Amino acid sequence: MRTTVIVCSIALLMTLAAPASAASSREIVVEVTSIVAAKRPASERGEAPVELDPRLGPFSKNLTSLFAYDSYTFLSKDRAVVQFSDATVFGLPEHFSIEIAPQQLGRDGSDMIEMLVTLFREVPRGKGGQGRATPERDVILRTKIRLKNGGTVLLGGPPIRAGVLVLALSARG
Amino acid sequence: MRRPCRFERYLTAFADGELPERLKRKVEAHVERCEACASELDSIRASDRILKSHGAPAVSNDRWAQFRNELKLGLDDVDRDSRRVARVREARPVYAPVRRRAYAVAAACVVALFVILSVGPLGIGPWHGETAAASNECIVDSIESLAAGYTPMFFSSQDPEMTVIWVFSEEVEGGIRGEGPGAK
Repeated sequence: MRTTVIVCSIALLMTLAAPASAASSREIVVEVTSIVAAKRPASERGEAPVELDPRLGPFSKNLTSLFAYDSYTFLSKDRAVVQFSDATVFGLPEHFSIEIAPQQLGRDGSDMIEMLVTLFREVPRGKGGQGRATPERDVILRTKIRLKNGGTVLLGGPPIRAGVLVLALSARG
Repeated sequence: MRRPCRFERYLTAFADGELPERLKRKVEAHVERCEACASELDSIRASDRILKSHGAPAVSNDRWAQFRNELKLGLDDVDRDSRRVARVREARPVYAPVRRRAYAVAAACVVALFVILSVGPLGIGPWHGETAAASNECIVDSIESLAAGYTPMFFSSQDPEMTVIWVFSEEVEGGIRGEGPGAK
């Protein structure tokens, strides 16, 4: 009985220590899912159901509850491990990109990931009258958020293709 | 009070040559190191020698028959279950530690598996950014747009629990449910 208790305690401590050490390893896993939300032309709307890309999986319900678009199309999904002292840029379709810079995890004992999120759009512009195009970046959105560890936030609005870009940003430390 | 050596319980069986080979070697090696057990073993062997040096007492056939009869009656009175328990207890010293250790390891594995499945190994286990189980609480500390023609805003919904950070563009009509322009 005593051996059982000792071995169980050691196993439990080791397993509980593992996530704690990961949390203090100064990095988070970030996942960005890109979606195009679009409306049908007024003449085609009628009573047709909302078109949901099956690849959207768990986000489908949130999208249809929050937005009034007629279709949601999955574009891409990217995942990266980002250091707290660093920033990672995710390339998005049509010259968009999003930069994630995690700043803190668990400030004041909370389970929130603090990060700076910047959404860019590259704009080709002429330089010095030489006719050479140099891409510059417009900062479409810059926001500082505190997101629950393991949670998701939706960002969107910029026009893309025949609709608007919606990004599901998830982070876990 | 001296704590009994854990090999003491094997000494009688060792002296009688009844231990399995592996355990026998262990006891042999131990006795070479442990004075208390060596002394105890000497004592057991001395007792054995004394017993063997005396022949069996002369008992008449009638007396043996009477003894066997009394023994049979006595055994019949003993409950079968209690006899079974007695046999199991007799077997404990040799096998119980091994079995107990196996149970301990199995229990530890079950506990570890349960915690891993609950928490995820290293906190980055099988996770697919799913929003169903995780809380999506989000606090927006600051929000701005530096590009012309964009107006940022945000709102939070309780059901589903989600924060939406939206950039209104002059180019498109909005699609946010409820209050956004172009809402159903």
